[in-house]
Amino acid sequence: MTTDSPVRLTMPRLIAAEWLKLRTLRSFWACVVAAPVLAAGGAAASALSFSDPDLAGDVTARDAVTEVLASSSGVLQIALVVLAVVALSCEYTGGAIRVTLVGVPRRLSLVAAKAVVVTVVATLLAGLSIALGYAAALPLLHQGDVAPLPYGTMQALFGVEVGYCVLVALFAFAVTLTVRNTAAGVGLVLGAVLLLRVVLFMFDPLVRFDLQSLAFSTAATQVWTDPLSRALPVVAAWLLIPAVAGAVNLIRRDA
Amino acid sequence: MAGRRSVRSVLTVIEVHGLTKKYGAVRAVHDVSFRLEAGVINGFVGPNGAGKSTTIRMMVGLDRPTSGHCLIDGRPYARLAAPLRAVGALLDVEAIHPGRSGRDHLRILARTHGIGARRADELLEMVGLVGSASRRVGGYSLGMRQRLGLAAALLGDPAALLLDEPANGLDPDGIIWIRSLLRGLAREGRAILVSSHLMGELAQTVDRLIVLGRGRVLADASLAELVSRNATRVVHTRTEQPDRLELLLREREAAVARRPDGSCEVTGMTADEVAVLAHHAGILLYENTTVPASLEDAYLTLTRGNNR
Repeated sequence: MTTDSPVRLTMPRLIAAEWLKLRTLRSFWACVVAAPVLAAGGAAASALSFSDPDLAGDVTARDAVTEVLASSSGVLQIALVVLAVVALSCEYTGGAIRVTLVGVPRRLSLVAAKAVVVTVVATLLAGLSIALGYAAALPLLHQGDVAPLPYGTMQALFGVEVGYCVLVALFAFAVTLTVRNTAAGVGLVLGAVLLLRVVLFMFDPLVRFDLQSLAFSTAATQVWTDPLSRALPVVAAWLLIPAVAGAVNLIRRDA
Repeated sequence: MAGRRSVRSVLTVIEVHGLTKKYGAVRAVHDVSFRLEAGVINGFVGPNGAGKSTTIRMMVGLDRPTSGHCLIDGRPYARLAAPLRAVGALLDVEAIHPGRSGRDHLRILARTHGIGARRADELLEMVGLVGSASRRVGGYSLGMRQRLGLAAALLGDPAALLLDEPANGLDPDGIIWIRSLLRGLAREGRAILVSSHLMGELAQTVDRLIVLGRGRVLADASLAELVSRNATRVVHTRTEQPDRLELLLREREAAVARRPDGSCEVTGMTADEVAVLAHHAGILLYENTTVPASLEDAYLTLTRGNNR
């Protein structure tokens, strides 16, 4: 009936609609404002410990910058988790998913479009925020005589943190696909990202196994520095298990 | 909008075949089949819990049927290239994100199909929401949400409309408005299914009625057919000897109900039969008329005992 109609459902249009949907949420703008503020705060707080050459000791410039960027992304990830969760959970506020699915009955296409938007937004926001964070930390690093790193090294360190942030956002998205609720999504993801590594670290000596490497936050960082390590299947498992469970749930359950 | 419908939309047909939905042991919808033709307004009536909303939700793929299917021009809803162009659906008006404006709600839906923002603005004007278009939907009244839901259903200029209780929350002017709107949309060649649990709401609007009770189709017929098949004919008669006439009528197994003004409501005999009987008995009749059967009566007859 509609084969001759320019009015039709396509993936680029779906992505454009999801982008509009996200940016018409007030919580999205709260996250956009919070992300650079948190990133700058985290980077500056970390850079303070390197601002005095006497206190910094024999820490290399690379270690100092790595620490500053990691602190920046470590705080920034909270805003990204909220953003990724809200991108999906907003559909379940008052049952808006029903209207969405009437317009877009291909449920997996809808999820894919949302995932694309979350990935792009998380990449840009993380990149911008971490760059701002580093800029905020620079005066303190200069004060501590931390030598500037070569462009290639900087780019690699920067890429690891941005990549980590994107994986965290995708993990939050996958978990929300399963739990369909903002509070549960944010709580579970922040618990997994912020606490699990510490908990597993405590049990390491008991089982005589590097349990810590199984934590999402450990693997999601390591996968960017050593992609062929055990981190890859660990990250894949953390992302795929909730994503597949959520997708099956979405397809099989009544809206 | 008149004149913009193309020939292809006139060919649109929606076929529902044996739709059944079970929730555990409860059968909400059982073997429901019907066909919606272009240009016809179909009323979808039944008591609360009859399965109307569940049926519509299955038609647009929101609920998975236990068995059966719905085809729109031969395809399931989920496989349509442009679902909003084929079917406009108004289901749950509460299912709109309360934090967005009415305009943004429409623009998001429009964008999925490449429909221009201007179309959203046209529809906001048509449903009378221009002044509130920038307000958050959370602050809308039920009637405003209904109007916004209607605008969303019309966004793709669809060939068919599935409207679940669209008059809920509308004021009398709004109800008159929606009746004329539906009439105009049907004249443009659209197939329309409009549900309600209130027969009176639909009586003046629809061409056909599909009556649902306890999840089953109790009737699927034109209004005239439905009334002639199901409404009980009543003869209103007034005489100087009501007691004697009542006795005679009851002897012939007619049912007689006495009214406070002394007149009788007779069922089981025609007005002619009553007149002949009275004439032979020498009873003078002041009045003897057949009361026109109402759709409401036909509906009540059909659905009696079919409330959940």
